[in-house]
Amino acid sequence: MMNNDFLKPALILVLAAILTGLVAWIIPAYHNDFFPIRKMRWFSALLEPAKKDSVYTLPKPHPYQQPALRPFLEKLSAMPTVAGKRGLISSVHDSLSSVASPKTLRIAYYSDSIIEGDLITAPLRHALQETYGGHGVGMMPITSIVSGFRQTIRHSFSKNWESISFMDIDSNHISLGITGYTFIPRPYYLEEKAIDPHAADSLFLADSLFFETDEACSAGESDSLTRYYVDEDPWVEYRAVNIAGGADSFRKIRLFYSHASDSSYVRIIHDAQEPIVMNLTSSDSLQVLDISPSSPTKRLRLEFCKDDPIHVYGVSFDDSEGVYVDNFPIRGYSGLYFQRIHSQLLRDFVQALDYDLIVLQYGGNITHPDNTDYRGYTSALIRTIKHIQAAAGDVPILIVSMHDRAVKMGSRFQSSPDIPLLIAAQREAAEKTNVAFWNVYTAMGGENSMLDFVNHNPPWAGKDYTHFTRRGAERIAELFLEFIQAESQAPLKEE
Amino acid sequence: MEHIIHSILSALAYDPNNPLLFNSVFFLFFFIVVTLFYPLVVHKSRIRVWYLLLVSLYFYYKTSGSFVLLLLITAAINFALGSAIFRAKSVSQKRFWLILSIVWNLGSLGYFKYTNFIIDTINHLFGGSLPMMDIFLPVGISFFTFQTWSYTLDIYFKKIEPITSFRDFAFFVSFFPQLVAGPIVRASYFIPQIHKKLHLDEDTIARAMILIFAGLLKKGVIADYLSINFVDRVFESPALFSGVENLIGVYAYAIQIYCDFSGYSDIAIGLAALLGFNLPINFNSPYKAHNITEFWRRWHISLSSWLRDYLYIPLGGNRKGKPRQYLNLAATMILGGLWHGASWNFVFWGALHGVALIIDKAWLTLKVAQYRIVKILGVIVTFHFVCFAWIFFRAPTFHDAWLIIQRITTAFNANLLPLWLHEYPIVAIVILIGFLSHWQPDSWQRFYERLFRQMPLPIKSLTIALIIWILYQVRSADLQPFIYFQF
Repeated sequence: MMNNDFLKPALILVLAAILTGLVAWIIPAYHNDFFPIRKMRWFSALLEPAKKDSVYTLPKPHPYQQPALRPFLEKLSAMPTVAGKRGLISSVHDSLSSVASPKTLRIAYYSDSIIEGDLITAPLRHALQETYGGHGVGMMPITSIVSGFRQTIRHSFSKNWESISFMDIDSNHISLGITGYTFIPRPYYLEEKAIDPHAADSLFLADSLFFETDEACSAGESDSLTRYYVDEDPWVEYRAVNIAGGADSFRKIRLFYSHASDSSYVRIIHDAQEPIVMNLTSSDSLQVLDISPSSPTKRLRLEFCKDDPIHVYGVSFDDSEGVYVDNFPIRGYSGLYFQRIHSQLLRDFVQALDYDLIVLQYGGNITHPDNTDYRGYTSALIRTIKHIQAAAGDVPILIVSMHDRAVKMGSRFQSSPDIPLLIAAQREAAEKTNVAFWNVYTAMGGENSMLDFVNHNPPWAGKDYTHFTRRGAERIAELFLEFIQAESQAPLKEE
Repeated sequence: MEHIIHSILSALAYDPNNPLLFNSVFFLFFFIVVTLFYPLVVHKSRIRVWYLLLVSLYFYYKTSGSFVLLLLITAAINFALGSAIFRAKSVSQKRFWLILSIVWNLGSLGYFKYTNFIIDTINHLFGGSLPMMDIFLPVGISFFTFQTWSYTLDIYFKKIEPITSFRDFAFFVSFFPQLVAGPIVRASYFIPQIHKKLHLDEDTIARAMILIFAGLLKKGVIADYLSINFVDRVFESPALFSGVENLIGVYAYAIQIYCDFSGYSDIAIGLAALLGFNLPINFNSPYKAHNITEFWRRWHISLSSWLRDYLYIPLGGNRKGKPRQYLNLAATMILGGLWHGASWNFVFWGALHGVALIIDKAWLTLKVAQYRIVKILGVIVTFHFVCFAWIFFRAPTFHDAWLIIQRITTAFNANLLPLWLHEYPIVAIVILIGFLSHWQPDSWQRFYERLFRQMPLPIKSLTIALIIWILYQVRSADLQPFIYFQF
């Protein structure tokens, strides 16, 4: 016996399922910035599993050791280890040169928001310092939008610093420092503003198309921002934090600056001691002021004159021995147009800090699922690398590829289909400039590995399917060290 | 054609990466098939039970794979213990079987849910390094364990007599609408319905459809959208956001967790209603509560009443003096906190609510608490206390929770609000819609039901089709498992 009442829900739902197909068929896609309407697929989507594979293929991995990395590998293998520790790499394959036992080894690690908060670099520094010694977090900027997020050092500062970065495309004449920033003491501060993601895109355009001409870059919004005047002298304060990747105290401290005048000075306060006033050297070139305390301290405060617009680049916390990894994140940055760090200044910095490796890990602000052509990017990246090579001489450069990043395709997340193409472009730029290359995308697990990172327990990546969590960043640091080890054992290419 | 058959067949099997959820297309077709054949069996109660039991077991298989066996084993054990308790001659014998049932239920829940938590706590306390175990948490175990447990407890307290048929009992445990995320249905509430003659009228259909599709909108449009587009980011790295964003994140989480969890319950109640069964209401606009006591009468009602009847009252409730009552309240809330997940954050969250309930009990005895203006203020204060406690509930660690509070209190940056609104207009609109619909008068709900009731059938279907289209537009990513799944 059929019962009509209980049939009604089925009728309503069956008809609804059919009408959904009709609705999907009638309502067209509507592109707009606010809330784009997508064309719904109903019956066709039910029948065929919608999986769009990336049409691009990845470059093949290097079968041989990369010659560009060799000086770094040799130095690392010659580094004396902490008593009782085995070196990360025992020897470099077929090594002939005998490097005299070096005292320090230093890495500059540039990236975008994915290393903000000392992600990736902190576990890397920790692992290297555990093995080879070293005491300090390396180079620090004066102000930072993510100071509260960084755990390896406690960093605070006054508001009245002007901070110029790669993102300020209207102040080309002022060279940036090694951190990618230049900081200028000011008697005022500007109202806060969120970084506009579209500005980052326009930077890429400005860079790849018109970077030769200065007027191509339109004036930024900074002119229209309200200034709030203050009486306070600008200051910056650092406190040592004794956690993995940090250090329990400050030993050797150096201040980097330029453009001081005869009357310029800095007031230095170690711990709670009496302030020491030191005069700065008047010069337009890079000056290094040793402000190390007589015995290790836990807190450093620097005060500058608010009406003295000198260029302050940062403070380095290190020691005379061991390994140092400098964390240089620039949010929203494409990794191009390093020319903003002028050649001479870059050269002076590389010399003063004695770098052994410069890492460039970019691509997150370049990738877009619809991109099909990265030729402009390749040539801009080549220009950036050549600029660094010209200034840094024989310091090895390592290009780290774009990591996996998932985007919404239909209603599912999957690897952005352009990533293999972007990685091929990065690899091509590395090959044309003879610098080293590491494919972190493959190391993560290749296509859709970001989904595994997000779903890992504990999560290795955030729900934006782009940024790593602290645990995920530790994983990337592990992979980085595995890459270094593998390279040291890889066979040499026979010429 | 072969390709089509193949893809349909492969869709029928369990896929660990795509466990079955109510807001999937697969579920829509699953439920259509269930309702299409249901009229053939609905009035033959024995066949009806077999039909729904098999369909439910298949549903659980699609959700959790081979854990369907665990479901059947735990049902069998509780079924046997229930009748053992009933048949026992002496009180001590009854108690023995009851303890066995507690050991089994607490043990299986404890093994799957709390083993790693206990290992981790031991490691922290004694500096050991016992390895964590790789234990997969079966979906819904917290819910069906509490459901089977209520059965043995009710028999022990002589509220019900045991069921004679294991088939009926397995059906009670596995009934798919409430199986994985509640409401927790008591044996005494559900068992009498199993063989009842079932009816379905137009009013019930309208109410059920509104519950199901409003629930899907709550889950798909509000909860999922807010979660992936804002809330997760703030709670993952609070230090990256200003105080004002952290505060919005907390408010957004309050509406997200409500929409997520109550949306799921509503769908469950609606689905059961279309099959002729009545499940108890689980959420009753909780943020309308004037005080914390009332909040717990409106939030996850089936859990709070379970804890009241099987934990708080057996502990002595309010019958052994004020100090003892306060202690009982605190103990109940702390264990209730732990039910939500294995971490000290949940314990602390439970303790916060326990303390608030104690203060509330004292406060409500004062006359001033009855003034109208105080009652209205009470809604605001209660809502903010609940939000404050959510910080500890949602933050991955204590450290993160304090960081959020610190950001809100020391780095508020109210001037960022216009920028935030500019960057996140849709998030802001969704939060607003969420709270407005939550605080709308109860009578509007009945208005929607009447409206739907009066529509001709094709218009009903068209309305549903449009909702499905909206859900498709808003759906973000792979389906996120419902928040309460792992609880």
